[in-house]
Amino acid sequence: MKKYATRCMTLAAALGFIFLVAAARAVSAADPPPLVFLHYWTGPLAGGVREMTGAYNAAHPDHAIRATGFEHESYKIGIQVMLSAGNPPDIFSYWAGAKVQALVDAGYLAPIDDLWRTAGLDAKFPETVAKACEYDGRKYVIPVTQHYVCFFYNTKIFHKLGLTAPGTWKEFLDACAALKAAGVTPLALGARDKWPAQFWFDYLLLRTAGPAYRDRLLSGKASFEDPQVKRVMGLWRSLLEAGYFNDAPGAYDWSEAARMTAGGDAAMTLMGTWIIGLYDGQMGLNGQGYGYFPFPVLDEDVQEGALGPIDVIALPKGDKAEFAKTALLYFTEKGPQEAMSRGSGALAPSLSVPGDFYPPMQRGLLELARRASSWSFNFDLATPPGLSEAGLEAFTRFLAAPNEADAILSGLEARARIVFAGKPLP
Amino acid sequence: MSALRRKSLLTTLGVIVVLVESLTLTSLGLFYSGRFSGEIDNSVLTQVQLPGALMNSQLLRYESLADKDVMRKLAGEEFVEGALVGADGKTYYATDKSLVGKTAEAIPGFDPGWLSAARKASVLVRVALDGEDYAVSVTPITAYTGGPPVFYAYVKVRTRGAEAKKTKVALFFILGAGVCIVITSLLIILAAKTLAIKPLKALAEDADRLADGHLDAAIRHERPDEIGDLARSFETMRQSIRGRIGELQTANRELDESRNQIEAFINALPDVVFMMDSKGRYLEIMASDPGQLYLRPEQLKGKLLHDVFSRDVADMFLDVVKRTIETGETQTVEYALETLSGKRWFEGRASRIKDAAGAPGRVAWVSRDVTMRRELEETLRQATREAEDANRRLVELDRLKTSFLSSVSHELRTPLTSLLGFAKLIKKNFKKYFTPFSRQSERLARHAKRIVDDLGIIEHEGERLTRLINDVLDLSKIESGRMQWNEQEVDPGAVISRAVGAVGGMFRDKPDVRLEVDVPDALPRLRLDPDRLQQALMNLLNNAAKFTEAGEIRISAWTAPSGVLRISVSDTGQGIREADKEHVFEAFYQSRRGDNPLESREGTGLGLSICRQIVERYGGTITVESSEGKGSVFTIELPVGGA
Repeated sequence: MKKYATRCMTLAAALGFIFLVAAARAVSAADPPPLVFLHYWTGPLAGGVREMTGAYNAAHPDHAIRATGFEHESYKIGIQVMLSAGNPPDIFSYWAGAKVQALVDAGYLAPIDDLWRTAGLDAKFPETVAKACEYDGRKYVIPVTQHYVCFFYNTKIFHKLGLTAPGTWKEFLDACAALKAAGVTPLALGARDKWPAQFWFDYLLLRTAGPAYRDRLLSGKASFEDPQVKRVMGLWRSLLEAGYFNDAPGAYDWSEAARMTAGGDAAMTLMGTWIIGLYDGQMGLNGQGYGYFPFPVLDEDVQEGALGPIDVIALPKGDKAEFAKTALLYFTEKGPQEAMSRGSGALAPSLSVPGDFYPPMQRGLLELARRASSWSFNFDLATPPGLSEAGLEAFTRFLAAPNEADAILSGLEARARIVFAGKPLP
Repeated sequence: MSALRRKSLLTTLGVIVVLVESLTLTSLGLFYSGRFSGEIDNSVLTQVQLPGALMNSQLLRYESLADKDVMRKLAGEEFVEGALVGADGKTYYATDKSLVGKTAEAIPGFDPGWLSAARKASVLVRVALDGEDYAVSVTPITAYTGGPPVFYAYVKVRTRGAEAKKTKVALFFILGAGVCIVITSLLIILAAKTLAIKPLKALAEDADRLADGHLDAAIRHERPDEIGDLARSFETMRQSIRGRIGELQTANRELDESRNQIEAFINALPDVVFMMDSKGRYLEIMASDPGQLYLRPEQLKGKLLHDVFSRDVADMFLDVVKRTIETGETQTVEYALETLSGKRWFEGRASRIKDAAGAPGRVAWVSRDVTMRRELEETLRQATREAEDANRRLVELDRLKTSFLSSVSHELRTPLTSLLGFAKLIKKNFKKYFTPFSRQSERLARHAKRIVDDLGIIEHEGERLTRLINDVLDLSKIESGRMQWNEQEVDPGAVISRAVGAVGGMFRDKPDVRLEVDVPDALPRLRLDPDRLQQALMNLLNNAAKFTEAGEIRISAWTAPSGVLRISVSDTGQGIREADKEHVFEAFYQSRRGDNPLESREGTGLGLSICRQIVERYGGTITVESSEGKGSVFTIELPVGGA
């Protein structure tokens, strides 16, 4: 009898469990599908995004976000195709500047003025950053990282050779000469993905011709065949010909160059602050063994403008725009901004993130970024897509054949004329 | 020609090895060629899909599709064309730069249907363009799980190299198989020749020597393998044959001896022996005296009976031959043949001979000249006929004798009774009237006594004659069957008592003789004539008393273990001579017991004969055991339960 009762109870419990599971499935089936958040923070750039979306999902279990990374270079064209084909993700990361402008021009993005206004985001971000989110007078994106491009160097090597962070071009050249003499490659560059090379062009132009001229050049109001541009190429060529760069930059990517520097094979690399994500987050250096310094001054009378991309999250037009705005709003908050900064090594754009949040190194970088008289986006983010790709291609070609600089600039100028004339590309 | 057709084991083995290897290698070749071809095809298909798969895993950049060097490394040297087609239908990267920015339809040979099909799954097709075969893959590339394809990786490779590789594999296999077949076949054939054929040839040579009768040469059998086993078997066989041949030789010698004995035996016989088949053909003729034959044996051999004898005779003989074969029983036939020495009688005995397989097919015919026997038999038959005639006459005479004796006895008894009566009367009267008178004169008295003695002799002889006549009459009646048998159930003991009582008087004159009766009370009853039994017993007792002067006479009766009643009469008299024993039961035979002629004449010589007749009448026997000088024992055995 007792056995029978036990069996009945077991059966009842089993049936109850099945019922509960079925009910739970029914409830979950009623939940909205997760937001698809497509981004390019993969590989060495992967830090931060998981923490940020994880925090969101923890706070909003009913409106989960599924973050999917996409290879950085493929992303650039992939997102274009998704948007043009009408199958964009629900939200996606992008680069502020000309690239967002192109999407706005194509009518792919949904404006978020209401969100911006309601949340009082103008007060939360510095003006330069807020301006980077505004296109044609409307807010379209929210900023999640701000990267500052500068030199990162191996402190051990510098210390060993008695070198200090160079502040002027001469000091920089002396340091390079000393390093080379010591058998250390002074400058590491991994240009396989093309974009890392552009920072040399950008900073040389910013430090010689200044931000104003650079803006004119990149907006089609100056020529790539101008003496200012040729001077930039000459300076760069002199470094190349002096043998200060590692051999075959096109064979390495940026992270390999960064590892070359950290490992002592090279002494310096010009890179954005995402390198901190690699060094501290993935290599576990925790700020030890490497340091930074801003791009040296070339002409005293030229302003020390800052350079770097601002990563934003954009909202394509679509059914889920309102739902997605909740996520965007969340990402502007202090916590997610800090999480992204911590993982990626980037500076948090939000002003609500206090200075003491950062480790000493980033605190110094933040100061540099804030102190800068101007903020410029790097070449490929500052030029329309048709020109940006051509520019990156041109810089890569230049690395392989510095003596063809003039021809390369002529070709680039020809492309710029077409792009800015609004003609179809060949 | 037959030599050409002779098959060599080596050739056969070689053909089999080549066939088996060809079959095996062809099967293996077909199997592995198929597999290799499949692998090559799979490899091509895998390679053609590889760029798309890598892109989908974000391990390959899109622009790599435009890089022929990269594509050759990934999709193989047969790579022809690659393109990245966006979900919007535009080409973003292509090995042919002129296609970038254009729609996918601009790609030569591109089927727009592939894009719609690839939205669901990778497209993998083989196409033929301008006489060239290609493998094409269109792999959808998604940005995130569950998302729609963003791009389509289009890769086209030529399959000519794969086909060439397949052909190369097939050729390599055919060549390899051919070489393999030749080498392994040669090795196997060589090994077979060394390991099997040569030893077999050696074994065959040994076997040939064996076949030629060289039984003493041992067969070489040192090998530890199956051929060695075979050689050992041959060696065992050789030894066995040698042993068997020895036995056969011994058996042949014995057979020769046996045959010689038979020949000698036949030669010693006066008979002629023939062997004939079922058709009556002479197969073998054996005769000690060829003169008994019509023809010489060598002339007779092979001839049929009908070639030798007249049709009737030959038919008769052939009939006997056939009957012998059919029945398996020895047939005996007597026949007369006219020979050169006149008519002769023969006895023929035919016996079936089975052949080695047990089938009856021949006959042994033994012919014996029985002319002399036939003549003796004829003489005997004649004598028998004469004896039978004599017997019949004797029977008739016996009957006449019996009749005569019967009638004579009757005729004799009547006057004898008168004579005896008158002799007794005379003696009585003489003694009464003249003896007293004769006492007066000695001489007279002497004569009177003599007269009385003579009268006593007459009386005595007359009584003896009467007994003789009675006995003769009894015997006559018994023999002629005219005796009246008064048969009834009787107690043998009572009969014995009466017989003993009747002869009691005889013992009064013999005080030295005791009569002992040893008869139990209970004896089985018999059915017979009590008077006759008593007569027989009295005869025996009379005889015993007559020939016993002193001692004992005993009559005993008992039932023997065999169930018969035995009555014996024994005496301690003078016994019977050995020569008389077998005649004592014959009529008128008198044993010469003692030397007193008077005594010997006292009997009639018929008593024991009558005894026997009576006992035999009831199915019994009477025997005598006697030892001269010690006494005799007569024993009657009578079956119990009636005659």
